[in-house]
Amino acid sequence: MSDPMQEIMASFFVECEELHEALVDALQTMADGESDVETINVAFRAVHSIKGGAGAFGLNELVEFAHQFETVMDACRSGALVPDDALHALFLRCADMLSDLIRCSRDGEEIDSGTSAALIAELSGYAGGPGHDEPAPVIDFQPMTLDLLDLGGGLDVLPDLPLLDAIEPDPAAVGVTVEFRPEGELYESGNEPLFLLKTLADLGPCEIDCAFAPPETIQDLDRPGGRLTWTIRIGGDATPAAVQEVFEFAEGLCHLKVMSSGGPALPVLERTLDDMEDDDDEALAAPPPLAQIPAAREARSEPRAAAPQPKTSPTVRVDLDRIERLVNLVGELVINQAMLSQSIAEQNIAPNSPVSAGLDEFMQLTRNI
Amino acid sequence: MSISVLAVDDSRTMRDMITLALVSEGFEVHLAEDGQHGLEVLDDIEPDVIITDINMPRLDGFGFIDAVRARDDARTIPILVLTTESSTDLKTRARNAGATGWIVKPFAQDKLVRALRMVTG
Repeated sequence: MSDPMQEIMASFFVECEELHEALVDALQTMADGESDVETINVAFRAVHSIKGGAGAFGLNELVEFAHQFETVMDACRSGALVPDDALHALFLRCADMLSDLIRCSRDGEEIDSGTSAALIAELSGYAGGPGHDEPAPVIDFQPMTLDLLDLGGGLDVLPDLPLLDAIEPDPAAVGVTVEFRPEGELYESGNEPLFLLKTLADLGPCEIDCAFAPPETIQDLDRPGGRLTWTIRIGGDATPAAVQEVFEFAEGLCHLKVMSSGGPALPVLERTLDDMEDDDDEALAAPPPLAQIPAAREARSEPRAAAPQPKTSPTVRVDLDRIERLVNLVGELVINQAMLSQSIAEQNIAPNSPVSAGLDEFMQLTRNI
Repeated sequence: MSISVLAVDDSRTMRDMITLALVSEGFEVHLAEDGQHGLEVLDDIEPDVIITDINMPRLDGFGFIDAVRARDDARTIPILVLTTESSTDLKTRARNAGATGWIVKPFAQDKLVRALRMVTG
């Protein structure tokens, strides 16, 4: 049984030859002064694709060279750098070097690191102008790991890979409290708060509260998001770092606070929308730590004649499945409302008719929901 | 029921690696070679999630995401950008175009799978 990764690697080197051919053609066209915008794009993409594939296989010298090569070409295609004859000649020499690096990587031959380093230094001279003196972006090298036993038959012999050190749980971690208020931009990006909550629930046993802030003006209805604030208390071994990873894609699209339960509040991780500054930050800044929840519940169950209760926002605790069903039903409602609106529009019914007025009210109620 | 993925990348190697990584985890994988091809594939299928490269011929990743978000039948589909760069500028541009999230190439299979499962619920 052949190794699928080896097969892909062989395919990669074949693709490299095709890409290199396209690169040389494009560079020669540029050197001949007959290029257009797409020509430099073709050259850039060829080097970029070689770099991307090489990274997947840990071919670091090929990646390093291609990275510097594409950086200078990117400056050319953005107009920051106008290539002259000397740069055209350098590009062609770099294409030759790239070919050598590909061949050496494929055949396991020794790489001429001196020539490669000299060319990288020359390229750096072009990339090192004003505004380009920051270090090259660090590429997150994460060699792809595959479960080869699940590929239909598996392998007779598995490579002897070193094991990574186990990550010890933080003994100080006693759970995490998260405050999460999705803004409209989060929905527009294709993120789904319900899925984020479900992922949090995978970190450990969860208690979830939701506070609803009703719109204060009719104009508020035009602004999606920002009405529901979820407070999630996660027990077990959950850590703030794990929570932060869950919200990686929601960065900048929501209000988010992550606190170690029972410990001091951590800094606010994300606050991006200016209008959120007007919110009741003090109320949001200090949700009850996990240890105080039973006491809080008892306090709520006291008769009304007891000591005056502090003014708090009403909250409700619901099962995630119920929320999912509710979200689905609201989605169906919105779709049906849109279909109804379209049907009425097609019938040319007067805007002040009872049907149209009823539909307007229906739309208003839908928006409120 | 398996999660349907549309992977858009002009690199054959990347398409192969994505397929290898996801099929073994039970995903149903559809492929496109650039943004324009991706839009054509979207005429025939409705994937649960899209993975796209940025630098591609004919229609690049930003243009592809823009076009997807403009379609009534696809504007809520989660879109993950698969890129070799991890700069804030790129993330901002991808987000402004309507991307849901991003994965840095070369990707780790478990991270890709975890991200796909998270954005599809």
